[in-house]
Amino acid sequence: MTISLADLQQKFVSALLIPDETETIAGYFSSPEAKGRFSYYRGNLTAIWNSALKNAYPVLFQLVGAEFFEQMAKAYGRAYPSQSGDLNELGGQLPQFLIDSGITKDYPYFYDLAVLEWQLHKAYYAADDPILTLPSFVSAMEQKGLALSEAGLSMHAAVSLHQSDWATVDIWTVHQGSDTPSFDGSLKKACFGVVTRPDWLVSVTALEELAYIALRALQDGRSLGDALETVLQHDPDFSIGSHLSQWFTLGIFSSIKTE
Amino acid sequence: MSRNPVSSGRVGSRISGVGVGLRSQHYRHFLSEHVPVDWLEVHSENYFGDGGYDLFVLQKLRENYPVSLHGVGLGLGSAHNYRIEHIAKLQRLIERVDPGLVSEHLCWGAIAGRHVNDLLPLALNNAAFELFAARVSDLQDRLRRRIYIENVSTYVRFIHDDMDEIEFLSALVKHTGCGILLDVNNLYVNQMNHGEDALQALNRLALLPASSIGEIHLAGHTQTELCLVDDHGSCVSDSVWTLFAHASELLEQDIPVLIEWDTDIPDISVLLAEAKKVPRYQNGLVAGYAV
Repeated sequence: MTISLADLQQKFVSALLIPDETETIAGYFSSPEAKGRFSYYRGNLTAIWNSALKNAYPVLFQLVGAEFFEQMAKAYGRAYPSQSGDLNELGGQLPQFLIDSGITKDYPYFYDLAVLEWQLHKAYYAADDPILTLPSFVSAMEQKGLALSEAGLSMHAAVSLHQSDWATVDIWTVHQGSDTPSFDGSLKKACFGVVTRPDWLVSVTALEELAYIALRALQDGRSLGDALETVLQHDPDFSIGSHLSQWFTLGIFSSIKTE
Repeated sequence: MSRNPVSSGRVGSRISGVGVGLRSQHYRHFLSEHVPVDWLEVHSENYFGDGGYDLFVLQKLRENYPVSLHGVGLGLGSAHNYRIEHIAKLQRLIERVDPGLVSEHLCWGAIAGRHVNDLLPLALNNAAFELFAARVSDLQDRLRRRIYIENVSTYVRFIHDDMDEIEFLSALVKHTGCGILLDVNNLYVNQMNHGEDALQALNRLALLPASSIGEIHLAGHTQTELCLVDDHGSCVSDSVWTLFAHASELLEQDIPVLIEWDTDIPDISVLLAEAKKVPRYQNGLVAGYAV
């Protein structure tokens, strides 16, 4: 009954995932007690999935409750094998899993909410780019002898834009800092947001649709002038000053692109 | 307390004395006041990000405390899925914090296409030894430093094992030049779970070349219906303290000791109280050898 190391490890993991296969690995254990103890490894595996996903999706956890979340984590861990020894990378395909498993049939906004939570999770570990302040931006452009409108702006590594047909940003926001959050607004509502990390604090801030469009244009490499021109065509009263002030305060940009 | 300032503004990297595992629940405490521990240990993977708050805190605390990096996700004994990307992230972290010691576990944790993210029990046979030794050598070559391998607690052993864990680790030291991170709690857990003689293990480890054991771990375990579970969620048991007193008698002096706590993280004062006990057992002031 000799077996290669690779085959032994394969059987071990198969038995972790499929309890009915415990007999196939138990024959390789040196004591009869080990078969019962093997269940601790199985328990560890599901606890690890649950813990890692709870860390990445705290609002989804609050929404579905501990019991449902644990069952969901078990199903996810089996369906989407962990691809890294770093548990902080576990969970990136949960939005897709919510569709595959049919959960989004009853809760269609869960997909976009999960997308948002993964954006926030990734932002937490993103690189520590410098944050470009509005005075620094203005000063740098003056020194270059260029108009502000000529500048392109690189976004901070932690920054990402979010858009949904559901009120994901509002749902996320009401679940911060309250043990008994309640959301009494309309779920079906187009929303736009930007994920930022000023002072290490990862958060999403709601945006007006035109502000989202302008930031998307900047992200796509267009100049500040082009980005603002696009939204001014939609709304001549779009407040450039207040929006620029908000964007820089949120630490959205890291550097100037002047090419 | 050893303080060994260097020109970078950091204390030196060498770990000595008694350390505790740094957990996020204690960040605020460590950032707001000086905590009387000699060094800190972190799980390497928790600081693999490109940036962010955890890394900021670690680098800030590194100014005042030497750091030991303890890997939990590489799974050196996995026949498949040994990831070079993981080692590259470890190398980046090493460059960032200049650790005094880097350790991994005598375990495996992945098959082709799937990581299990656990410290799974390695078959202690010749094939596993060849693989593990090659991996340790590869890791040491890539990182250009000595790696310390920790003995692990297990709930199962395999029928075709050719050697016990101490024989495996001793051969590993001989063949690769790696060191050992000795977890005294794990020795005790395996003694209770598998009847492996922990005191005899210490006597055999004492025969290794000088400096082979670079760090000692102490942690709590839980007695369950089926066996002892190494859950790191309670104070060090009296039996493990006694075994540690033996280790202190038998092994070299001044091996750095860590109080390890990973689940149900208590107030920092609980960890510090545990850390305070270490010198008493090192100095043989506490009798009672019923291991």
